Amino acid sequence: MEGDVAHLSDFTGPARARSTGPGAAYPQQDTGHVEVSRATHAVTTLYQSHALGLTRLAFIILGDRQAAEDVVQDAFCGLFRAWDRLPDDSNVLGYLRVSVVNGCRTVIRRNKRTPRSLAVPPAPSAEASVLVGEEHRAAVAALRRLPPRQREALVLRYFADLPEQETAAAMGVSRGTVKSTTARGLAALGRMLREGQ
Amino acid sequence: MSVLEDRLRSELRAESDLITPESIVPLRLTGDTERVPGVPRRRGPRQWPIWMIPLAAAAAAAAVIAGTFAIAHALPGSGPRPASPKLASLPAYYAYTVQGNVYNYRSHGTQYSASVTGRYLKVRDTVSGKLLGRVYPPRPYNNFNVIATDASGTLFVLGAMHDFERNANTPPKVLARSSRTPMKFLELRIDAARRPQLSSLLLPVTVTPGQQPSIALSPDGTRLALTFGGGGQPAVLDVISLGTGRARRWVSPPVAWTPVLGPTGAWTADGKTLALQEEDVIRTPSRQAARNWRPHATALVYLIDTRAPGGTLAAGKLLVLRPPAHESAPGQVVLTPDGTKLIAVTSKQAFPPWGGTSSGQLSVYSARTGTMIQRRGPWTWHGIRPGRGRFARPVIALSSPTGSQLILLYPQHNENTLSVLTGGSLRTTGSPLPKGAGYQELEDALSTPDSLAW
Repeated sequence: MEGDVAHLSDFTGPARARSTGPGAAYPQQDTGHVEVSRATHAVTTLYQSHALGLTRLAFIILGDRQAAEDVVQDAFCGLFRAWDRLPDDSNVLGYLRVSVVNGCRTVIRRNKRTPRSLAVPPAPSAEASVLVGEEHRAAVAALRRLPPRQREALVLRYFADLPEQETAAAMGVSRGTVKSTTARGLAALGRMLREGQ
Repeated sequence: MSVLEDRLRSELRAESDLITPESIVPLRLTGDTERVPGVPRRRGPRQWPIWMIPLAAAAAAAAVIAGTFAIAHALPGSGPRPASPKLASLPAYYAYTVQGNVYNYRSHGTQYSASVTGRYLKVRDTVSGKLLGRVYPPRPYNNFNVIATDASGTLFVLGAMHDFERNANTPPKVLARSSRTPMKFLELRIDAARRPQLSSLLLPVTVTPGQQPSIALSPDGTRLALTFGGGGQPAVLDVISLGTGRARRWVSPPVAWTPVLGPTGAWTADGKTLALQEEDVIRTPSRQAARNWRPHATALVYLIDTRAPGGTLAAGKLLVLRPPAHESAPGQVVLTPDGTKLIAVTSKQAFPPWGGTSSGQLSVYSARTGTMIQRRGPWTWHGIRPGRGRFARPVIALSSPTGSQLILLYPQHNENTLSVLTGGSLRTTGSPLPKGAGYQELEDALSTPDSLAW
């Protein structure tokens, strides 16, 4: 799992972003077909590498597996549509991360409700068919009660392991705002956990 | 780094493990498939000339009329009649369990809850899909764990358990599995006025939680087969006469496996032979256990003569069903009503799921020797993860006497569709499939075969 999260921050350099895609393997002809093939191949390759990490990121923020999958799908579809407009030196993963964070904000705004606490996968037995939502993670539950911005900051910093600068880019705020939001989020989280004991 | 940061980091990672690599859906790029090779991409929305509007309106009206005719001809019963069905008749009703919460508690803003898969039961009419009623287990029982029906679909036997309890004065997160309350058996009859009538069923057997019970009702509704045990204990099969309460028992020495009766095709039509399968069942559910679970390479099936006075399970005929090369062990084993064949699902699965293809067939085995005698109903599932309640494999619901005709949920075009498989040909409309509104409800209920009695 750590590898999946780590690669979120590995994919930072613009040159690497393009070189990892297969674009270079295609002839530089200005026809729709080649453009589409290149974009499809590139986006699909990116999806196979990063869908898991980004879905987990969205799931942590939203607490809803289905919504998280939808947000990530939308982000990649948006990338596909915008592929031709992206400058060559663009940070593709950064673009995707911002799309996912914005998509999560949209979902939260649309739902206006507390995310569901936990999802438990089915296990292949009759015994396991009894689903227990009791297996509880208090810090995660408390995190989901934080205001959306504080939640985003904590998830990007402590789950995606992003440095402050990249967290700021993903959230669309300044580095100082990230620092203060993270500090306030951690303080609130600690308070909630102490009260819950 | 502070303790809180450490804790948050580890809990977030544990939480994110709920999203597994296998669960990632494939990417569907909008507009990706409509492009024609060599044709430049169109920029911006196309503007239609104003004179096209009346023509388009006329074309739309013609399409609606043609579509209506096409749908009318495609509806079951409106076209030429299909060949006469080999299945004698469909059961009149079916029942399936519905998941629901048994416990909900909010403390300091945190919601604690536990849900069970069989919180209540819905009973529907097969043909119309009409809901006859919802049936809850009597208190303190809160979960229908097992469910079975006879061939007519008017008598159901249910097993309810008191799965969870919360003791007073304990923290809200302390929720215990009931360790003492034995399974409560109930009888559900659909009366002449089509009302479900629930009553207690007293059996001379006590099954406690954790013994992994499974049940199957004989086609005439007079005898109940009940299995439990295994997992280090003796595996037990009881065949209980519901009229007299007398039981015949077959038992094994302590075994690791669990005896299981399938939701379909456990009994022969004459009520003489019963098929019981050895399965590995996870006793203590955990993600680690689920991850480490590996299925058998073969399916082991006991055929028990239920007219015998009882004895050891070894007295039954043990068949080893081997899968075709490179395919999974036969699953969902169905004994045909005439007792001559066993039909099972075998499949190949490729990984990763977004790039691979699942394929397989129904494998037909001789009930005399256990050797595979036929393969039919091939299917392929192309690299799209099955959605909720959908499987990249068939779910067999009913069989004709010889197994030549099956009603099943069949994977076709990456959807599971209620279908009839006759020999090697498949169709999705016409007799004996239910008509009208019942079709969709039954299709949905079949997607969780262990929770359905039909």
